Amino acid sequence: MDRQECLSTPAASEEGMEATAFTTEELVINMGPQHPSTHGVLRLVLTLDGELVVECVPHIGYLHSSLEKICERRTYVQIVPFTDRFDYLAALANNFCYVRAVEKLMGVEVPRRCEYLRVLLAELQRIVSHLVWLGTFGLDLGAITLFLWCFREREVLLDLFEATTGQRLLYNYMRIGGLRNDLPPGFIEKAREFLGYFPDRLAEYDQLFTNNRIFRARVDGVGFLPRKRAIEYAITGPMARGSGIDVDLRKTDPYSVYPELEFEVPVFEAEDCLARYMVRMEEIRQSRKLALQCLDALDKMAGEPYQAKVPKTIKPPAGEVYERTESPRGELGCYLLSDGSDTPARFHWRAPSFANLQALPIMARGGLVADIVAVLGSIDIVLGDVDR
Amino acid sequence: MRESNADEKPVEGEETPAPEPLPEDLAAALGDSVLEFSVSGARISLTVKPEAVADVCRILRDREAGPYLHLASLLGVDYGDDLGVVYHLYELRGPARVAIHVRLPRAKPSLPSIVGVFPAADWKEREATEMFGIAFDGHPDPRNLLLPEDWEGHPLRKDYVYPDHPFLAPDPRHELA
Amino acid sequence: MALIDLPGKVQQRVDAAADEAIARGHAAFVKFSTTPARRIARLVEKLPLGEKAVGLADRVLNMARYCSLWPMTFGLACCAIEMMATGASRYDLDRFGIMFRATPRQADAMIVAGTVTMKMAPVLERLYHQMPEPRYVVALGSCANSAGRFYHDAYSVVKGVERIVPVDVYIPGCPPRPEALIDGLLKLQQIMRRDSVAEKPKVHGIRLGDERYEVLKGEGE
Repeated sequence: MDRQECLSTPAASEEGMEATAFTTEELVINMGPQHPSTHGVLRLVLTLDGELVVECVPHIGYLHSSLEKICERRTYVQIVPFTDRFDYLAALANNFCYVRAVEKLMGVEVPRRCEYLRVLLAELQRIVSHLVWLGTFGLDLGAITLFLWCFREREVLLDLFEATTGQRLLYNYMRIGGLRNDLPPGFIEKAREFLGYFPDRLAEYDQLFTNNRIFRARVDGVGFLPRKRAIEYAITGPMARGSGIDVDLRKTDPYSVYPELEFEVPVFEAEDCLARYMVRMEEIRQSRKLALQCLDALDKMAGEPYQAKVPKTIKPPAGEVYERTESPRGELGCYLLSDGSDTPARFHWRAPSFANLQALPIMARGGLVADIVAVLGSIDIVLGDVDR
Repeated sequence: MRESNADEKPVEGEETPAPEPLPEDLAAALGDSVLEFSVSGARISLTVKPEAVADVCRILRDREAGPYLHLASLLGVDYGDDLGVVYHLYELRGPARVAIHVRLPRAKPSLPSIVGVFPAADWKEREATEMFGIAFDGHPDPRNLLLPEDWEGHPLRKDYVYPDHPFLAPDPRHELA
Repeated sequence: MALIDLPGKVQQRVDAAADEAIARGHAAFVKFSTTPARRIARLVEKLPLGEKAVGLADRVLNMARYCSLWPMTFGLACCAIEMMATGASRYDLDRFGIMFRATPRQADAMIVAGTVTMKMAPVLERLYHQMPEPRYVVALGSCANSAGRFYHDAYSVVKGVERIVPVDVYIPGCPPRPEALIDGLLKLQQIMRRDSVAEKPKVHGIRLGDERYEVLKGEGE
C-alpha cells in the first residue's frame, strides 16, 4: 500500500466502518520528552486513528532555564555568554543579534572590518548549523551515513572557530562595539581551502540523499504548511521560504554589510518537507558564496580596527529597542528595555523556533505517525530557543 | 518610552526636528484608542488603551496600503509600578514597524486576546500569562506553557519570591568557609 | 522460586524486607532478593579456591560489561550536541563499544547531558528507575553537575542531577570537549570493574542528602 492508498483507506470513513463491522478507537500516545527524534526535550501528545494523526499537541518547557529572569540581574557584558545558549547550534547568530541590539540602544557604530568579520562568522555559523540540521534529519530518517559525513565537515569548521574564539560550540565571541579578538593568522587560507572543496562534499550529499527514492518518499508531499497559515502563525526563516514566502531579513530589512554583498534567497513553493529541505541546502551554498566574498573583503582590510570605543561599564540610556536578525532558524529578535543602569530592566528573546513550532499541529494532522519525525526534522527546532 | 534608533540621532548643532504625524489613514481609523504615539520614518510607536488592543491590531493587519501582517513578538513587561504588554507588528517584506505598548494595573491586569487577529499570538500570550499573571480575555487555552502545571507565582514579576524546594536550595558544600 | 534454602536468620531478614515492601505497595517485589547467579556464586565462594573462581568470573563479566557499555541517550541541551559529536566521525565512541540506545530498558548507563529543569526532574527519575541494574549515571557538563551558570537566580533549574539520582562520574565543562567525555567514560569503565557477581549491584554514586554522604565527608574521601 503506498501513501495515497493508506490515507484514503475506507476503514477510516463511516461507510468503511459499517462495511468492515468492527469499531475503532482513537489512541492517545505520548512521544515523550526523552526521545531520539524529538531534537531535545519536546513532548508530543498524539491522538491517533490507527496510523493517522488526528491531533498533535506539543508540550514544551522541559528546558525552561529562566534565562530572561537571570539576564535581568546580569550586566550587559555578562549577558553575552548567556545569549550563546539560547540557540546552541548557532551561537554566533545569537551573539550577533544581541550585541546589535545593545549597540543600537547606545548609538555605537562599529568599524567596517568588524562588520565584515561578524558577517563572515555568522555565515560560517549558518553552514555549521545547517550541517547539524542535515545530519540529524538524515539520522531521524535512518540515513546514518549522512550524519557522520555532515559532522565530519562540521569538525573542520569547528577547528576554525576554536582557533578564533577558543570554543567549539558556545563562543562568547562578539562584544558590544566589536569582537573579542581578531582572526588568528592562517584563518583566511584555511577557510578558503575548506570552502574550495566543500561543493564536492555537497554534491556527495545530493547523490546519496537528495536523489534517494526512500528519502523522497518520506519527505515529498509530507507536512504541508499553506502559505496563508504560515503568515498567520508568524513563521519565518527557511520554513517560511519553503512555503513560498519570499522574506529574508538580510534582503528585506537589511542590516550590517549585507546590502554590499551579493547573494540569492532560495524560495520554494511546494510547502512540504522537501521544499524546506531544498531551501536549506541552497542556503548552505549561498552562505558559502557570502563567506567567500567576506574573505576577499577582509584580505583588503588587514590591520584595521575591529573594536569601537565603548565605555568600560556599559550603561545604555533609558529606552527600549527591538532588533531582529536572520538566524539559521528564522527571525531572531532581541528586546531590551533599559532604565539607565548597567543591567536591563527587561530582556526578551524572540526565538524563531518558538514561533515555528506552533505550526507543528497544522503540518502533522492528517498525516501518518511516521511523518511526524520528518516534519519535526524539517522545522529545525532547537529546544534551548523554544524554552529559553 | 523613547524608541532608540541609531539612524535617526539628531546631529549636534541642528534643531530637533518637528515630531512626525501618524499616517492619515491610521490616524483616522485608530482615533482615540491611541494615547500617545511617536513616528520616526517607517517606525511607529503607539501607546493604546488596553481594551482597544484587539481592534487596533485588526486595523493594522487589514490596512490597505502597507498591511502589518507579521506579529514579530508579544511580551509582557513589569515596569515596577504597573505591568504592560508590548507588541511588535511588522510589514511582511520590509522594515516598516509598529510597536504597540499597553499599560495595565498591577492588581488586575487584563486585556483582550489577539489570537483571533493573529493566531501566532497563541503561545506568546500563554507565556505572558504564566510569567506575569496578565489575563488575556478570549484566549482559547490559557494553561501554563513553559512552567509545570502546578507552579505558583509569576516568575518574571519584580516581586517574585523564589520557591523553597530541595532541588533548588543552594548547596551547602559551596558556602565559602 | 527457591533453588536452595538460605540460612535461617538471613531468610528471616529477607522475608521481613519483602513483607515491608509489599506493605508499602511494591507489588512486583520478588520474595527473595537474590538471583540464581548470585546464589551460585556465594556457594562457589565457600569451596576451596572458590574465591579465585568467583574473582575470575567477576573479571570476565565486568570486562564484558564495560567493553560494551550502552548508554541511554539523555541529551537535554547543548552538551547533547557535544555528545553527538563525540559519537560521530572524528571522536568515535563506537570503538569503545559504546552504542547509544534510546530506550532505558536496554541501557547500562545514563549520560545526563544538559540542564535539568524542575519540569524534567520527575521524567529523569522515572527513566532512571526503568533502567535495569547494574546502572550508572554520568553527569556531563556543568549544568548536570551543579546547574552551572544557572546556579544563581534561576527558579526552574535543579541544582545538579545528583539531587535526583546518584551520580558516578562528573565531567566538568561548558560544554566539555569530546576528549573530556571520552575520559569520563573511561573512568566509568574503571568504576565498573569494582562490581562483583556475588553481590547485589552497589550504587556507587552518592546522592545529595544520602546518609552515606555524611560518612564519606567525615572520612575525608
